[in-house]
Amino acid sequence: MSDEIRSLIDNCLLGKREAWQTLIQKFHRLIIGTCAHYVPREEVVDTSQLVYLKLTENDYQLLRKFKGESLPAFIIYLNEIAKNISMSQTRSIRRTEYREGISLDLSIDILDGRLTQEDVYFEWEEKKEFYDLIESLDEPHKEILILRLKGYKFKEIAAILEVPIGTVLARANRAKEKIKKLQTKEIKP
Amino acid sequence: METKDPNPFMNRLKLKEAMYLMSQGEEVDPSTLNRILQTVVPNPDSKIRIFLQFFNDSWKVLMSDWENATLHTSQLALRGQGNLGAFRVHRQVAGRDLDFVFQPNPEKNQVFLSVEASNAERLSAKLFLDGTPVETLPKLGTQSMFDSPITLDSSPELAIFESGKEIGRYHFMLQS
Repeated sequence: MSDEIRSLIDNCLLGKREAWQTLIQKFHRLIIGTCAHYVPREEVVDTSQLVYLKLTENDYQLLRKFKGESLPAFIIYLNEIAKNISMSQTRSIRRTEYREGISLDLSIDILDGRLTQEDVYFEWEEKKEFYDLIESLDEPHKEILILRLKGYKFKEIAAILEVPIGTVLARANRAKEKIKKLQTKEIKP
Repeated sequence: METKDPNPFMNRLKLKEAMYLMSQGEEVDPSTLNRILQTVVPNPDSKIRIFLQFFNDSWKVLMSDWENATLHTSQLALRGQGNLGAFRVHRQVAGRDLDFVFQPNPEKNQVFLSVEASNAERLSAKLFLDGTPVETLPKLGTQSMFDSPITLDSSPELAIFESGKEIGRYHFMLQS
């Protein structure tokens, strides 16, 4: 399997049409699924097109940066690329709406919600502190909180982790309780 | 699996997340596939792409006109003295025998290119960066190394001329 993915990427880097065809057929679901999670439905196709364009920019520089040789590593890599492009596309959509005055309410929300440098710093500090607390949890509890922080619903988390939703809810509650106790120093990490 | 994130737990979680997102996506339909292919595959041209990869302590050379063939540095003839780590690739261009000699720097993030030719009279070479000529070797054989290296960020093109007429073009890419 490892030779297969490395050879596929190498042939894409050489600009071979058959290799690109295989890569698109294998990974289009991943790109579309990732974009659909982050951008509005009507933007998914354009954003996925942008992912492909970014992959080809500067003589396939993004693809060249992948040095792995395994399929799972490439899946993670491509997912991260599609996620970053989608998130930057989401920000750009919000900016465009504000500039063009398409949605005045949304623009006001954005302005009202704009953080000062001080707010940004304290938010970062809090997040860092929170992530440090999460680190002290065991993996089944930690993964649920991380996925919640990434914006997934409990139902989606159950699907991602392939466990019943009841288990997810129970673990999430236990994790929150433990975090609270750690915060109040009721228990030690 | 080799890790991208140094934290194995995060790697496993990212993979689970990616597999879930993949299950939510859609297969590509033929018209979308063709549209994407038009944007990602370079237009057909006579240019040959040569891709230099440094992985696992050895160099690998891939060429777009060699079907399913790669060369590893261990399989390449290393010639010359004091030229540690250099490797050469033999090519025939319009009936002329040419050797591309690649000399990597110790950090493996730059490769210097020399072009050597037998019967080199009337042969010259020009290096292009983003379509602009940056260096010319007016006569191959006498001063055959380019000063501008192939780097991770720049992918130069080399054109070989015989009596001023272009007889071959190569596009070099580096990954390390």
